[in-house]
Amino acid sequence: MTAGIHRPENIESRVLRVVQDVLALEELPRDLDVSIAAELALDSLDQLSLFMALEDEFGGRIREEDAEQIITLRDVVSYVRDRMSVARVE
Amino acid sequence: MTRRVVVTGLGVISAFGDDTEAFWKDCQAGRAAVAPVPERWHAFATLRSRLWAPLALPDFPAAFSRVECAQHDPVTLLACAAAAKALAGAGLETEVADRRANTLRVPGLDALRTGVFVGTGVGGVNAFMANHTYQVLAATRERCAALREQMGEPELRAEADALLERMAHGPRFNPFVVSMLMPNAPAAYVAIKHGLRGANAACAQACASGTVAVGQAFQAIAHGQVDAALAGGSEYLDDAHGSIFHGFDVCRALVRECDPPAAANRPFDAARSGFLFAQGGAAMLLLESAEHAAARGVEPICELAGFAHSFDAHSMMNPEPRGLAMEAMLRTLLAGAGLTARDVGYLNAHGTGTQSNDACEAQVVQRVFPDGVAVNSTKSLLGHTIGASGAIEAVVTALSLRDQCLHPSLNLSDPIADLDFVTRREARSFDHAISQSLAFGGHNAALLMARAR
Repeated sequence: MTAGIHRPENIESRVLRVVQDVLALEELPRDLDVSIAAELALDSLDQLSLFMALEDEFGGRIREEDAEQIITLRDVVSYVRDRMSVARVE
Repeated sequence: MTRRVVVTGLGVISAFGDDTEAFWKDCQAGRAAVAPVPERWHAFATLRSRLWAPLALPDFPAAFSRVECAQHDPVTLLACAAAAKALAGAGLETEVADRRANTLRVPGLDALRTGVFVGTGVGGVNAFMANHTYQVLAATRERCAALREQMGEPELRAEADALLERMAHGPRFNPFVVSMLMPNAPAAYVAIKHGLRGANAACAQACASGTVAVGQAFQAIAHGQVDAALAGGSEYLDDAHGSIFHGFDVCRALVRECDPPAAANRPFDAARSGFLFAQGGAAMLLLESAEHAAARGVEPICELAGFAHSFDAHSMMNPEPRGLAMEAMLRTLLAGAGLTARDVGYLNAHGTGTQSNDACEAQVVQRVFPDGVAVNSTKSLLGHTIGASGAIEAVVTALSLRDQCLHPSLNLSDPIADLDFVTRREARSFDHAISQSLAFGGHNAALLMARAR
């Protein structure tokens, strides 16, 4: 059953769970407007790790030229929702 | 002035699983690891050998973080898993150092005085092959899939589907591939994972890599460079298309007589036809100076009493037939410890099952040990794990000394030499043992171990 997996709130919570997992955070991040580089302290290799995990979770690709435009967690969620083509069945 | 070195912890990941004592029980029971190679491989090459020794892969996602699993070749994770077992076996607890990086510290060790030495024959070749496959096939397969959609004939579509299946590849070109494939990755990440900042070395002497790594760690401790070290070897030789297997097969190194499978792997037997390729494995030993172990109040499993190595300067893939460098190595090893051949009761041979290795090794053992020494081949149980084999056999030798018990060498019904081959589990009384490895390239390496005092 795939109906519902594109629901925005569903994608957001799944993205945040991946972020929590990759960053080993004790709680889900709550503020979507934090910068992944500055406030979440992800260097360029850490960002690659996050993007790989998102690709594994959602089955699509984050293109290198697009990755440079992803600044905040909200950008991450938007990119996954709008650009990653294949969503994994939950 | 050198210091005594003792072995206090052992970790093995093998075809028999990841529990060291269960591994040792399986060795003593003469369990054999052998199975047909993956059926899929036959689509890509005509293979002479059809058997391998599959590895019981640990549950990596349970033991490592999602990020670690994505960024490390199995050869590195295997080394880390074996290192964790060795530390635990030595009674050393770990605690979290960095939660995000999932790294640890070992409070019982001085990080700056603890080294890491890991051997591997080919390093992260699985990652290299997977990413190479992606680069070569991804765009081509996508175009072929599009052409397949334009095909009307069901038969053509079915054939296209079969070809597309053969062109399967992983999901991406991994941005971490360079750090995954480099042969120093296991040594580097074992040390990063456990926060160990002493001497660190990757050893690449093919089938002798694990033995050389343990030997270098021994020397570093004996000469006071470090007080403790994690040392061993790791190898992971699986790939989607069987290319690594094919490489060993095409040079006629692998078992050719495969029926029945259980009888195919027969080191030192007249009917041997090559070595049994192993999917992989790892073993790590925790070595300490005797004083360091005593200060911790830990009982040694055995003593590591010597290391010697030599080089054939003869052929990249065949031993020098007279074994002169191998013989010199063994005599140097004994002399360095002030022992004679009569002091050694057990020799864990390289014993691969190839014509040239076993013939050469057997005659050298006869020359160096004219009064006899018990000999077995751990590879007769596990197949050949290349860079891990020397470390796995060092573990076997340590446990043999501890328990005064030798595992059987399998399928040895018509021995090629009049040596004291062990063909069933035997209790023996002996104080010193040698584990030796002989490698492609011409490297010879041997460890001398002694019963714990």
